[in-house]
Amino acid sequence: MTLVSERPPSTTVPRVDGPPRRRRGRLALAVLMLVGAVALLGPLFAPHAVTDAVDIPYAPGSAEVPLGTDRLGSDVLSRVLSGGRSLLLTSLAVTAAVCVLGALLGMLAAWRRGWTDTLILRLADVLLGLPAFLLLSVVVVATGRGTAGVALASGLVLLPESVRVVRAATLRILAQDYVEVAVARGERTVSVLGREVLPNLLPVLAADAGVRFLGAVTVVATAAFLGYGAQPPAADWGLMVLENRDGLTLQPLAVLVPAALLLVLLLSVNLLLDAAFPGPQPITARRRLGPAADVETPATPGSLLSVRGLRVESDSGHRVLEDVDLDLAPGELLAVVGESGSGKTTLVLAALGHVGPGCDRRAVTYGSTAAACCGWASGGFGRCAPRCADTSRRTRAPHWHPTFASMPRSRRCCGPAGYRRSSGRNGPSGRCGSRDSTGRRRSSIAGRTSCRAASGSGSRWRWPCP
Amino acid sequence: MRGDFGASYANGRPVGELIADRFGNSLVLGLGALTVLVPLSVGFGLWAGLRAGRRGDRVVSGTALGLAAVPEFVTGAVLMAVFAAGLGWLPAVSLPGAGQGPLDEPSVLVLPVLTLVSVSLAQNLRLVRAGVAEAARSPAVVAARLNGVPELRVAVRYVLPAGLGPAVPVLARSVAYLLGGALVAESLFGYPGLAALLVDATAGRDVPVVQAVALLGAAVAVAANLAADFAVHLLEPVRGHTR
Repeated sequence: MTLVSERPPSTTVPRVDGPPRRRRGRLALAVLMLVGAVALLGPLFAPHAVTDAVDIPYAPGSAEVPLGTDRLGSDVLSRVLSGGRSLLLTSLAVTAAVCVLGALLGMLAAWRRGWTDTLILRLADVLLGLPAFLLLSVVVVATGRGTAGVALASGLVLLPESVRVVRAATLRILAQDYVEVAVARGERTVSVLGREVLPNLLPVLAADAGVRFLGAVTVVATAAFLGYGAQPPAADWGLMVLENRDGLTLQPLAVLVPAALLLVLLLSVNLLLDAAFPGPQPITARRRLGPAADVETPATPGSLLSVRGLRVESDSGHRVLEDVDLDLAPGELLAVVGESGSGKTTLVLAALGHVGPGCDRRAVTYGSTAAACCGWASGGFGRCAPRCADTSRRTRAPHWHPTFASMPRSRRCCGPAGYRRSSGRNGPSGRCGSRDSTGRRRSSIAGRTSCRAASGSGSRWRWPCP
Repeated sequence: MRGDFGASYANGRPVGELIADRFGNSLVLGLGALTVLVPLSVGFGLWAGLRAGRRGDRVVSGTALGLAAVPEFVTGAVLMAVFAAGLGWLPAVSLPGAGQGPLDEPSVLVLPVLTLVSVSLAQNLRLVRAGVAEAARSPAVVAARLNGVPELRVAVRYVLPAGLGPAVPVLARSVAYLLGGALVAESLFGYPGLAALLVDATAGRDVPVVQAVALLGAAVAVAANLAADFAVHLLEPVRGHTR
């Protein structure tokens, strides 16, 4: 399948089935809420003041001080309980600011194009080209040490990537037909961006916010560790690692406990993101529906393509198609019409044998006649095979529902015995990109090129030819 | 405009001299990290990519994912706790003796290098792995296997060149990560390098020093990216013609 995506191919993520992923997500959420509660509510439960010297420096744990004391003799437990709040709140504030600014700038760059786009992108490139912590140091020198400077610096570190992600996603959305329609209706920029683009951008923004939060926690904690943020009497997890590393042999807990809390926080957010946004899942056809087998109508004799009880599920268990029957006789033309996202393309691909591994071929039978069978997925019209060349014109029936599908364009040719794939890269995209004049997209399968009227017997998927 | 970096606010010494003192140390640390990083990420990436989806791959990829999520100073602190404080194998403070360079006492380099490598290793490994996994499915590799070419030769001659292409720019970006990571590693272990100088100067708002070091770091990062672009063209000579 020719799939154009910005992510590396799905092999980078080990494939995990639905339920374990969800379970891991729930576990990660629980752990995250626990760490969040420790960080936000911890100061209320701290047994000592963070600056009080309660014992000798680097004293081991006892009943009075369960985690021992740090280099100034303060209670490590109290400092750990108090040290996460500013980190978490700063990171959240930075994330929120970066997401809003990134969304605005990214959408603006994609919408205006031209010099606005160039200016925003080049500025982002300059910031991206600098190593993050160099940028951090330069900004902190300019603003002076403290939380505000660190927040500003981490915002500058995180913003460029956010802008680029949003811009790329917005460009994809702006290429959709519904945006074109909105522009053609004469809607104002704000309403096009707010009503057509933004709702479709939200999943991207949500995933991006998660990634930026991870980045913000890392940068803010590292800045604290480098001594750029909160200054010594204050408690901060990053700063505690810096302060107490000299006493690591005497009192390792003063370093390891804040480090472990940071670790758990970051890993749980990571796992949660992985569970919430699993990325593109390959679609695989599962077995045909069992009970339907005895009520099904037998394949029409002489049909080129016959599908019984086809069912396609995504890997996460969502049913994409269920119980589809269709027959295609020689000379018959079948058009699949439906709402966007109803599975037209998947049906055509599955019927032509192009849905992922694990496709049960028993659901699809090809007739013995050696005739060509062509399929289009999502509006790729053009040369398919020499003998199908002119079907695109003939398929323009007057009753098409306009549908707006947003699948990547691809086109497949196959023969009944041993279907061929048009070879990956240089195949479909170049020559087959034309949409038909009305801008409509559809999926269709054609038996031979000649297009005689088909009887409407049985299958509700059938559509008579003009 | 005088053509030099000016003098430090903190001690009045010329910035050029301060940088020259420490440049060699940072170079040793950075090159040391790269010589560990590149073979490890290519080796593990190739190994895991050829086993994509199997148990060995899951272990390597999972570990890499975990390592990539952790900030350097946490990794460094844990390494320090285990190998310096716990086992006592390596010095906790990487300060070579007076008049000596880090190469006279290589043991001081081990922990800073490991800390530096940990985060970039994970990113590079994942990219090499993805490239290799994709290349391993290509028709050329299948044809080579069917022709009876030994597995090792298939891996080195057919899979690796095709799989490495996408990873090279990220390898170059990891030079920038190393520059950033050096800030953490050097100040955590007290290593007398440029990054530690930068951290001290930042804390003291010593603007001329920060300016000079940041300029140097940015120049190195840009040069690495440029070198990577050339390397990609060497690895993939057809790029630019097909698209």
